[in-house]
Order: sequence, then structure tokens, then C-alpha cells
Amino acid sequence: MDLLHKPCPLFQVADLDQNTIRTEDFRSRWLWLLFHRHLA
Amino acid sequence: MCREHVLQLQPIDWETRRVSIVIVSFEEERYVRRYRDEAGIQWPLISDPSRALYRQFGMEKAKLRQIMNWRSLRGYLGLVFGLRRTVKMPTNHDYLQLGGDVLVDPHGVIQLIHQSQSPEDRPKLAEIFAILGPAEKEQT
Repeated sequence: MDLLHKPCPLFQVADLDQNTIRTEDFRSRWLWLLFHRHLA
Repeated sequence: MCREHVLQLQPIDWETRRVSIVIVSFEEERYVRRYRDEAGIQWPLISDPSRALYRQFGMEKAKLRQIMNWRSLRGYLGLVFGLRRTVKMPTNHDYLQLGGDVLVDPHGVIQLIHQSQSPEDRPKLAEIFAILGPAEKEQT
């Protein structure tokens, strides 16, 4: 599935502090999702 | 080696570029919490043990040849022999899961999907800045 240059799929998740993160909330800002490997 | 990526990014003023950074980890929440505290990370962190977000953006598991290369081995040797500061942290030990970077513009359109091909494979900062354009204070 090539999502490049396509609308970001909507998702809603909670961060460690239970703050809700919705993709829509980042409209008007850049959103950089940084996917980790393991935590070493 | 993800830690180097984060340490490289932390000193940069992302606010003037109107960039929000969110870190996603497949590790369990307790490990992610420890990692955040130890590394002093201020950005939101998400624990995604089901890897739903990883799948959504195509962050796959590596084949052995992708992690058994000289650059990766050099990084792990650095860990083992303490060439850089780190805290030993028990995790799920899934060394095959690869990471990556996704950049979504202010209109909600994905402008970069970097699916890491090896542990140390991350987009160059110059590539990120080229996509972002100039910072606000530079636009006058």
C-alpha cells in the first residue's frame, strides 16, 4: 500500500500520558511519526 | 540506534518549523515509559504493541541479511563495549522489527515515508528540511 502523497489514514491513539492523539489534530502543523525499532 | 536518531533531533527548534514529533514504539508501555524517563524525551510517545501503526505505514520485519551488516554490527559493538552511553533495558527482543519515519504535511497529506531497510537507516536531516521548507523566522 503506497500512501505517499495521499491523505494520511486517520488514527486515534493515546500516548503514555493518556493524551489522545488524532491525526486530524495536526492539521495546520507538520506531523513527524518516528517509528522506533527496539529501545536499545 | 533509534536513540541516536532521537538525540540528533532533540536540540533542533521544531516549533519554528511547526513540526510535532510523535515517537511510536512496539514495546510494552512499561518499557517505553522507562525509555522516556531515561532519555529525557519531551515528545509524546505511543506504545503500539499490536503494531497496528507499524502495519499501517508498512514498517516491516527485517530479513537477517538486513541487520547483519558491517554498519549495524559496528553500532551493536558500540553498545556492547560502552562506546556510547546507554541503559540496559529488557524489551521484547524483537530485533527484526524495523522502524521508519513518516512526515505528514499541514494538509494531512503524507510527504515522506521512509521505511528503514536496516537498523541505522534513517532519512537525512537535509532531506527532512528540504521537504519542510524554511522555518517561520526565515520566511520574512
